[in-house]
Amino acid sequence: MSPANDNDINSLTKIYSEFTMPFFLPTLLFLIPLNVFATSGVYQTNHDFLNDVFNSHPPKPKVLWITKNIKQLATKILGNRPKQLRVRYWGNKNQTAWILEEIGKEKLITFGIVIEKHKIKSYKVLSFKESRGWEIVQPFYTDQFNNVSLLENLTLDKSIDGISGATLSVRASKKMAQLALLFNKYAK
Amino acid sequence: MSKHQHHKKRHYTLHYLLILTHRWIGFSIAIFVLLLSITGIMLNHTQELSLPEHKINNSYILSWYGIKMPSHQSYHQIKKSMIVQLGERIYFNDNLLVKTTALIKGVIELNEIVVLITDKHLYLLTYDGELIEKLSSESGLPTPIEGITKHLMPNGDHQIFLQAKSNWYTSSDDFISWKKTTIPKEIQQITTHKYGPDSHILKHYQKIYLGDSFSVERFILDLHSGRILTKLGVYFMDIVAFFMIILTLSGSYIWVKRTFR
Repeated sequence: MSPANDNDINSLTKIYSEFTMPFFLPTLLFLIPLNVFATSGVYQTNHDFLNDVFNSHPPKPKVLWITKNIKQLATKILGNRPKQLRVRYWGNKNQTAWILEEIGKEKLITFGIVIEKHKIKSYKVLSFKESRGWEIVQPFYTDQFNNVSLLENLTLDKSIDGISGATLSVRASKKMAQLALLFNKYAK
Repeated sequence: MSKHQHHKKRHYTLHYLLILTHRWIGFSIAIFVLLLSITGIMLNHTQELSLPEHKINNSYILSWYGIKMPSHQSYHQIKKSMIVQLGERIYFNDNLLVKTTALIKGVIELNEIVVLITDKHLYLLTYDGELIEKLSSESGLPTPIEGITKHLMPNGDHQIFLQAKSNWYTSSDDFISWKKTTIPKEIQQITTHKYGPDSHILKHYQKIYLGDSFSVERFILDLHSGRILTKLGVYFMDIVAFFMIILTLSGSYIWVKRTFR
């Protein structure tokens, strides 16, 4: 095999610039915005989430007052007292939708959780503002919460696989699942 | 001088220089090694020593860091409670309620609930300062909020009216939802319960604000890294670390030479 000469190099360069680059550059440019979007931001507004859950006819919100008993149980789940004395929810005894917020490492993460017959029917991250740990937004993670319920000791009845590098976001997501299931028990 | 004597002299000079270097570097950086060791031990036990919880109160240190009372301050009194905004912090009595860049636009009390508004949020609080709920546009609150007022209705109850987007809104279901309404011009006054604090209250909140600003942990970290003297301090600590490396190497060399002479 003879060493590459100038003509070969020119041909290769031509192939590269004329065929590869036109596909490579746009692909790269297309991927960059997706990557930025995937890291942080609002994935779905509360309004759109509720419209999705209730087929564009969300009911009027109700409030659950955090009584002393609920506060004690919520404190066990959160590791600190709940920040508010009442929580909004939508739905009825059979199905409730909760929009809860929790800090991951430093910023708030908003979760949309639908519960039916005391089991999580759907689980979504509505907004994520942390600089890392955004993988919890992906369905491969959130789908783990489907059909999960709460045990007597306030833990989930199923083990949720964590994500390396997203420990605090994962922890926040589990706490919110537990909290939503707890609140659902007391919702009317 | 023979070749052997020449080499011996060079060797003696190098050794002597190393001893001198080791001695003078050791002497020069001793105090910094002490500082690094003590701050290092403290940082290793930051939780046990509760360093993040303890705050710096010393005025010289605070002024070195440029921490001072913010220019924007507003004081509101509801019954016996104070709601105070100092820069980005809103306090209910002595407790930090929320950090926000928004300014308080009004404070009102109704049926044992305190209602506090900024342009984007409405905070429902108990008289003890416990947060009942924080409302935003996501919870149906009309925004941007311009003001709030309260009016005695014919049925004898007080009603809250919220001014937003140049309209008036009211809620009849415990602030769950809002609907547009019209109110007579004579009651369209914004209620703030603003209060002109005396020097005693000013000093009290100055102490709270400044005492809340800066943890001991942060100060120890900056001492340890040299960051307390900004970038120059960091480079200086880098030089100290470099000298410590030289100290280790020269000390090891001297010990080996002495031991295996």
